[in-house]
Amino acid sequence: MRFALVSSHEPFAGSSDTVGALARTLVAHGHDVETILLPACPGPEGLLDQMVAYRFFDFGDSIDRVIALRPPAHVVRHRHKIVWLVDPPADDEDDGRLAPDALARRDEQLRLDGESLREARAIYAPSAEIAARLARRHGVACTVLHPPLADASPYRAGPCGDELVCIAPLEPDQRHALLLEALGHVRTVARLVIAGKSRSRGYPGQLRRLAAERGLGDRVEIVDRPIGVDEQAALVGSCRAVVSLPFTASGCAAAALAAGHAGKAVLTTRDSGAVAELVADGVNGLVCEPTAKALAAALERLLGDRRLAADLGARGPARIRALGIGWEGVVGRLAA
Amino acid sequence: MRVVVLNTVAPFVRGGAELLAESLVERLTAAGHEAALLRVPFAWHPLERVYDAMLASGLLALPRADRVIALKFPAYLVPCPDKTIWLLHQFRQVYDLWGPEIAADPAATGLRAAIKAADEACFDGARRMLCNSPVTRDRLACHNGRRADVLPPPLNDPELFQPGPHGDYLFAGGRINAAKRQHLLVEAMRHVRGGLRLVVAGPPDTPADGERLVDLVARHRLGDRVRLELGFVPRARIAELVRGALACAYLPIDEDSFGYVAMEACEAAKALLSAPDAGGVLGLVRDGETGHVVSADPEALADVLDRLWTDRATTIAQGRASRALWRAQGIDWHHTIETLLA
Amino acid sequence: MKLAWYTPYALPSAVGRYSALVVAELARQGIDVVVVRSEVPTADLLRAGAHPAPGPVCWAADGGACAEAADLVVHNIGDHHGNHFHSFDGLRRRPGIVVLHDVSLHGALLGLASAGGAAAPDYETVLRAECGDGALRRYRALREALPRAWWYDAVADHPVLRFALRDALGIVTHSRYAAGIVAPRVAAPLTTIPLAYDGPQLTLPPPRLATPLRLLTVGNVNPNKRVGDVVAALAGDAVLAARCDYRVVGAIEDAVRAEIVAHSAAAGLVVTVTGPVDAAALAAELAAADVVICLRRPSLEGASASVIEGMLSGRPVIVSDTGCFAEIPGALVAKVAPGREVTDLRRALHAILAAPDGARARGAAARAWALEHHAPAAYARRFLDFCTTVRDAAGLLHTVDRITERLAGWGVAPDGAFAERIDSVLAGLFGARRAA
Repeated sequence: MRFALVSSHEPFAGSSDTVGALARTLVAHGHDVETILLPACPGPEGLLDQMVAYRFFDFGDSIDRVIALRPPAHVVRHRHKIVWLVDPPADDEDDGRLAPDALARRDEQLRLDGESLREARAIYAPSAEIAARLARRHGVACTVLHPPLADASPYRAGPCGDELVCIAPLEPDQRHALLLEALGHVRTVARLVIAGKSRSRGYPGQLRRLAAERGLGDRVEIVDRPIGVDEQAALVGSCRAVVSLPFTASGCAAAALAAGHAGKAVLTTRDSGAVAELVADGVNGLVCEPTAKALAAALERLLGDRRLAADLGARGPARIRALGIGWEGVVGRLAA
Repeated sequence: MRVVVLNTVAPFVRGGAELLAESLVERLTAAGHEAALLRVPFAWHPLERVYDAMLASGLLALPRADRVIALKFPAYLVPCPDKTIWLLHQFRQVYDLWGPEIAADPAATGLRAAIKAADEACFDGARRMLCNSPVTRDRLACHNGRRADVLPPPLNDPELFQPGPHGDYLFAGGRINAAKRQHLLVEAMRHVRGGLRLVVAGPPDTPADGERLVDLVARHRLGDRVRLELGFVPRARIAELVRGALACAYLPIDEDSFGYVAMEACEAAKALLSAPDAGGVLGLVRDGETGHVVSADPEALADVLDRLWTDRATTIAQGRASRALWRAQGIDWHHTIETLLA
Repeated sequence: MKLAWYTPYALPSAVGRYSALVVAELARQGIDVVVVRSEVPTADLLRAGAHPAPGPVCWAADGGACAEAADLVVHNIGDHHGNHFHSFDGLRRRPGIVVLHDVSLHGALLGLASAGGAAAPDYETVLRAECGDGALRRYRALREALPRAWWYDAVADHPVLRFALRDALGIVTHSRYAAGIVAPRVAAPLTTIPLAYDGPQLTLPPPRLATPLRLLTVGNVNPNKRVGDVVAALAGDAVLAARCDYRVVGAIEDAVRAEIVAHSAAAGLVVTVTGPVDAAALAAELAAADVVICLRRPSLEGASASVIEGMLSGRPVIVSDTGCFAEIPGALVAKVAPGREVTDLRRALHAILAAPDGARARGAAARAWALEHHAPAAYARRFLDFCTTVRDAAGLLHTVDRITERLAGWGVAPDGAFAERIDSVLAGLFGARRAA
């Protein structure tokens, strides 16, 4: 079959290579694939212009199926369009959790409108929570299809070390501040590595100040740059546990998946969207309330009991299999 | 530097421009830049659709790029402040290909004016205008009154085409169609007396273009002297065929530029055979120096093929000279990137 | 939400009075609102004092620094270039919501044109662009005609609005009549909210309605207030001439005053022209009045503060059956048809004299209605709802602007097949919200 994979692409933002991995898998299954990355603007300004532009593009007659990935690619027109919302924007239902730019994001989600979704042959959501939202809001039937890691092969189990690792964009919606506050209450001495690329310049400095105020200056390392796959694999492979606390339903679950492949326990919170769906409390990690106190208690358990952390981590790969997360499954769906 | 290469895409159509765009991104990355290739879909049937693609491009933006290198209409209409246009294609239907047929479309006249206005505003706003060939430059001057420098695209993968041993065959690569005149070479083989063989490899534009060669080989019983590899040929195989050839031939009719086939032959230090009406390629073929310019006629071609074979040392020397002439053009990635980012 | 509220704010300004009521109410409803004065500051203005404000007040003329942190700006616009100078100008630089107080902005346009400067509009160019060649020809024919026939009369047929409103993100009018004039001319979201107002005379005793019956007209005495018609109605009716006196309160040109006085004296009428008065004197005038007369022809206002004041006073009110006045329920006020002012006025006054109890009851009903209909609290709530609508639509407006700009740059006509396709794409993507 001839597929066009259409995705908005914000250059230089260090976004994951989900589209590339999908293309490679489809080609390996004997399909023809044209990958079309459309220019995307960061932030909500210009988003409407972009949507109108995408809607006007004409892909000609040579394509059997369009798979629309990162929004607003979902608005493109094709007689056989399949929408797989990878990396959807946060929206107003996240507002309660998300104070700073709630308004801008709410506007963004408004643009995920019904018509362009309803005309799709099938819609896949990256998490059960997003699927439920789309169904509720637009009345569209929607299947959960977790995006696998573009390349899981570098993630291998290493020794169960002493370090905590939090790999995610350095953005407030990853709740690093909450994590630092929790760590301040933990008696067991442990190192924490917070790694990722920041977009807002002031944020990493703010975190460093916060760490210093809590007396954690020498225990917390903040790495503000894009972290390549191999470096991620090295960090994850030798840690005690991976912490991932995004507070939007759309929060990316890549770190939790990496932990799963590398046999590491994940600590997350009940309201962490896709991440919370990947982690079963007491099975492959711990899921707690989004408070500093609850997080501190969970951290204490993981840090104080190496055996517990190792056992939880060891169940990671099975959990990923049980959820059916993998490229074979994705192609099975999208090429069906 | 953060560089975005902007191209258009007609799904599943792949030609020189697509390869060039991909190579450019690879070379930029290798040179230490952050580079990304973004593409805007473009379809022009029916003609009104051209407006859609223009508007769509005009509504996009690339705020994070330090430099945008735009190659084709309408991708170059995406507004961005630091845009260098390396013009491979305008929408030729409203310029040099304009004629009664297209003018008969009721949408054509308005579209022609709109494209001209959009193009000219865009060119005037560009940081720099470059063209891939003198022909593109002259069209731009003639139809839009805009000036540009010529920056010919280098070979995408020159590393593959480094000189190798000289074999016993003449190689003719590239797309196969009547205008590229591979059939003349097959016919010439009827008259060749020496031991030279012919290898033709490349994708026929239409099934008929391929069948024509197959028929000629069969009809003249040339099967043992002519080898046809029709269809998609991997780059590595093309390079292998070029590097192992005694000489290469490229006989298009009046082309704009050197052509990749000729550039690859020169890079691999092969003598080059062409015709007086071949156009841009003649810039690399000096008769008797770097190869031969022969009238497009099977018997005349056969004579020269025999000379290539019998005077093997001269042929090899001409190959060395062709590489030297090509290298002297300075068409390489280092210079190309330097010019595009200047 | 943080709002910056651009408005004239001097004590004598009716728009300022409205603004003071609304910003106080917005503040009560938890909105962070700063007042930015839009007037060209003059010595008179500074002497006049200003309305009280719940938060900071700054001058746009000084750079309007206090507006910078606002999420949304609001510009009050009316037909006076000096009062609204920095709103006309400010909208260019930062689009916001416009509260439109007049449906004709000819006076402001002329003022801006005369003020000069690089950005000053040209009166005739704007008139022609918005109203066509016919309007321009009529203007040239009438501009010298007396008594200011173009300015006081003909402009009503040729509203100019786009020059001021083209950058508005949303427009608030205070009457359906005004909305009907704006809607076909400006594409921004539009809403109508009855003007927020309260009178200075909340607790007046009921009117006496005895002889002499005191009639009162309040406001700048322009020809469209038909003061001459009132005088004519009294002068030609012996009963009314004997039983009524008439007071005209507000700024007036000397020539107009002289004419009214001469005409009244000749007819033996008791007519007093006070000129402009302060708030206390105005309250006293209302307290002493029996009937408030609020006529307009042509009607150029988006809403009338003086008719609301009249109704709040509990006095019977007589209005023209035109413009925003026509929207007042007929059971609450007496209406005179435009063109039949003299006869209809006589009938209305005779009715009041014949049945004072009915007239008094009607005045009380009008007061109750006005208190509710023009309540600042309800106004503020509806205004905030509109802010939400505008914020949702603002992005789309911007997109439409960009599309229009591209097409214009390429010389593509804004009609025809492509424009239709654009419409259908926009409707398909954003249809639901556009309708909202």
